[in-house]
Amino acid sequence: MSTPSTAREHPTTGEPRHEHASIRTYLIVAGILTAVTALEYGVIQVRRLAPVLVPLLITLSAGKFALVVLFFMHLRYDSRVLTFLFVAPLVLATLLAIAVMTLTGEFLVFGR
Amino acid sequence: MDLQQTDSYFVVAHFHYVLIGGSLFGILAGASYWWPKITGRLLDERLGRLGFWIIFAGFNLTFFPQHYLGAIGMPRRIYTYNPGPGWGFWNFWSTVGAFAIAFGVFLFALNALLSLRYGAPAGADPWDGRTLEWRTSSPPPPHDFDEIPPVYGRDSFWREKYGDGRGRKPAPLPAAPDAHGIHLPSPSHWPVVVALGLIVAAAGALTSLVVVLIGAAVLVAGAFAFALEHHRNPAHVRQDGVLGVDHRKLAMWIFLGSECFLFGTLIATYLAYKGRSVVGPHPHEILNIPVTTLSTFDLLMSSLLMVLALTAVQRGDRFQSRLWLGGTALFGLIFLGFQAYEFTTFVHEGLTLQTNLFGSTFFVLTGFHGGHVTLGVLWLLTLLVLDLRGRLGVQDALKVEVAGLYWHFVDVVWIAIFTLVYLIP
Repeated sequence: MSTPSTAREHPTTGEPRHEHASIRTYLIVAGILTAVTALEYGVIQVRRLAPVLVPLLITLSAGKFALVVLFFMHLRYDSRVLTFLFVAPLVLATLLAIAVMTLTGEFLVFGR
Repeated sequence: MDLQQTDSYFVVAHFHYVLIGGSLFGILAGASYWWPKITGRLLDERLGRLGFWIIFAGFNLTFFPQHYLGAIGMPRRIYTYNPGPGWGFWNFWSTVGAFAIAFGVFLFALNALLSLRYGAPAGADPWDGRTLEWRTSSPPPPHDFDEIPPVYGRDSFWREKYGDGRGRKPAPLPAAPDAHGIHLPSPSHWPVVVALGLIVAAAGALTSLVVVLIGAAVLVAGAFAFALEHHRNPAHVRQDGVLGVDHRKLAMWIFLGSECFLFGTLIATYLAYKGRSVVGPHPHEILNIPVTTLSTFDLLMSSLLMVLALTAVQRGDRFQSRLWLGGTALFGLIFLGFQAYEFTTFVHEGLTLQTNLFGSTFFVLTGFHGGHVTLGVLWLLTLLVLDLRGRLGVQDALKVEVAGLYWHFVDVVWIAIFTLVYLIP
């Protein structure tokens, strides 16, 4: 994996530019994404994994999500401001989704 | 007392004392106070005072007698009455007061109009003000301040002029090292066209689909023209703001943050209604996981092609940038093909938007995602056309990066949908 490099100047504007990952890193990430997708398809076929299937699938999915956001969307190399602007609403939206499901849906906790 | 005065003229008097005394006087005071800042001209002091006292006297003459009229039995919401009860005398003076108010307001308006032509120049700070608006010229320039003013506290400008309670003034800030001038968005007529398109589309929603389509076409054309109007303006080359992030990139990330809520809500709705359909088809009977795994793989690989396109544009490699941009769009189209196949199959098997809760929530969620993919494909094809015409150089890499952010987001949303909708039993 490549490491984040320091800001270099843009070739035409002369402004500081954040370097992104190398092509090799992108290919490795794509390989991992493919493998995890195949793994996801595989684990749903295994009956013995049924008790842990939901947390397992959510973990695998979260890993894929993080890989795309960190490397393909360059959040690992970009300004922290951008991370905050994305992660804060993502956390809030997740909490909102959990709240909706908890109150009305499958995962009834508070009764009706 | 309450019962006795209810629906009487006392009530009319009471609430007009509140409305006129509490609101109208405040509005006139505010207008007088900020008029010099808005226009750069001072109002005439004598005319202003005269207007104030006439309105003040007229206000009391109009509404004070109405308390008494209510107390002696005059009801509200009547416009005429017999002479018998003896309400005529005070109603006459109330009417005189109303004319006095009108005359006072006329004097205020006259004062304002005359000041535009004959008023003395106000200067930046005619009232020795304490707040920041008095720190800039009157009227203020469109951008308000040439440099962001220092803020030392609630009475910032006052402290700047006179110091704190002990007279200690804040040290002036050094001049900003990079004074690259003030750049404001250029005025444009296109937003009016966009608004017109919206109005036509809204009117069409009440009348006919054809009118909706015409309105939508006007709207889209206006939005495109607005976006591209100053595309080549050299003043737009520098887009980095105080956060050190390009405005376009910042805007895209903020937009993606808002999109988290859209898709979070749609996914939550799907899960909330999961297993609650009264009639079939149910998910386990109809979802084709092997095919969807393939389409998921396709979309993930399109993200790889997108980053390859970006690096090619950054390198200035025209051949590869065209290849990968075209490839990404193609993979997006393949994904849409998978989705069209899935939707068609479902409809043939009896699942529509109206069939059951599963159908409604599934089609809304995946349909919105498909709509996003479609928009992304159009965006990618636009970039490809720009590239083919030689208008996507190294200096335009950020345009590809921003489009890529959108594309990757569509991808991560699908990662979540694939797991939560398809894989979890």
